[in-house]
Amino acid sequence: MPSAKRTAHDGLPREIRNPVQPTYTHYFKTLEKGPHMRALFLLKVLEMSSCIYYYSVMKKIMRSLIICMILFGIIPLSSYAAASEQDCLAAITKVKLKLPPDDPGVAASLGIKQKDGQITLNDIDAEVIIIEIFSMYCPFCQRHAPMTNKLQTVIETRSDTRGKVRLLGIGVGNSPYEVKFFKKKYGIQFPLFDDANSAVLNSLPDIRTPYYFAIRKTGRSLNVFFTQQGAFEDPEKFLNTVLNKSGQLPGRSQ
Amino acid sequence: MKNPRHHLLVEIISIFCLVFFGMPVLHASDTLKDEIYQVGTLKPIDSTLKVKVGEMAPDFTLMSLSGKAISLKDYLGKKNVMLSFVPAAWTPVCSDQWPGYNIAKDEFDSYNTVLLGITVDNIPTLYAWTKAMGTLWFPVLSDFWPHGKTAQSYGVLRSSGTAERAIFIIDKKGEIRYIDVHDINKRPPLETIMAELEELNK
Repeated sequence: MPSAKRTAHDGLPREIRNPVQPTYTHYFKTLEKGPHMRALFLLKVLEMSSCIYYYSVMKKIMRSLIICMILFGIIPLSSYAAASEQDCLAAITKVKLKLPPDDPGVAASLGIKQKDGQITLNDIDAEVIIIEIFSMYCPFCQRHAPMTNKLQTVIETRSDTRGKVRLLGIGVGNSPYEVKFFKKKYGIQFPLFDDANSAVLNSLPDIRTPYYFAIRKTGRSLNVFFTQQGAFEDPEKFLNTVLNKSGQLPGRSQ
Repeated sequence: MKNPRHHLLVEIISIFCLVFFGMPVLHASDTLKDEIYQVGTLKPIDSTLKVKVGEMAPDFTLMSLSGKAISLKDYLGKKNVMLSFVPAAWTPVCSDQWPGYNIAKDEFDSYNTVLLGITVDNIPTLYAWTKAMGTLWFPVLSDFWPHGKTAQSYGVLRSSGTAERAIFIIDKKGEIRYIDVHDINKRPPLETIMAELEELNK
């Protein structure tokens, strides 16, 4: 009997053990005192089981309530964070880049008519611009350099991306010499720009290199639609991900 | 005994744990930079040089990461030496300096120059830090004990006990040819170093 008593108590909501009501101990004690008490006890057992049922239903309701609370709490928070981050990242669309005076290939490979001086992303002839933010001093960018070269090869090879998607690199905080050094060391096949006065570095939020931006160019409007922190493993897959998100190139769903 | 109330509690706690402790996992993709201690902006230079261009470089013997003791005099008559003092492991600019020199081995070789990287950190710290950069081709020396003795002898030990971000270029005769005690918050550009190394071989 004492063990049954324990079982009846444990796990029940506090209300059931409200001291104002006669306690179960009372029923157990009076159990031996006659048939009317035994009937009362059975009734109480019924009541108890309905309580347990009610409790289990409540539990389900509680659970969905909690999940709702969490969902509704997080969604506005994360969208707020995403919005402010988006604003920061949009700074990339306003960068001013200096064409390397000794490398006319850079302007040509971006479809830019002018030969030297400063350019903006709007001067680039493209539907989608992919920017790699790197640094000559960053070991991850060094290791990833061959893979980024492969990405350029894929872009140049595919008929749906050639001339429409342009890849370029910005060596944040790097001098023209340092960028040229990196280009030579890894035989970089796509245009690289320096950031001698760290203007690009300072305009962006605290990002870690390598960092990728993909920007959609519609007329004169530039829109960052994709960012990626860190290296990618498969250039073809990476390009497909970007294209699918861009929803702009022919044969791609909106 | 089964206890539904406890189950509910566990459920609530686990959901909250997931939410609060699970969030940072979303941002855990970054590697080395997550390990970096942000020092903020420091006083650009906080020491007084004890050597001058044209003087003989003070000799030193320091333990290298490979476990071998390296002395400056080992290179006398054989190679030019560039000393690269950096303030401390796991700090922002330093972690972005040596990996750059790491891809310039051919250039250092062509100028017949060895590069010695020096910090006041102990060997285990330097091991973990440089390992995160990849494999460095140049010796990394620990000026840990007596603390910063070598940095002190060149006059590049800061009042905080770290070294300056300083470059000394020493020719084969042991004479100091170039000194750059750089603003600690900035990285010396590679072109300046390369130009000075070229100067050495003229």
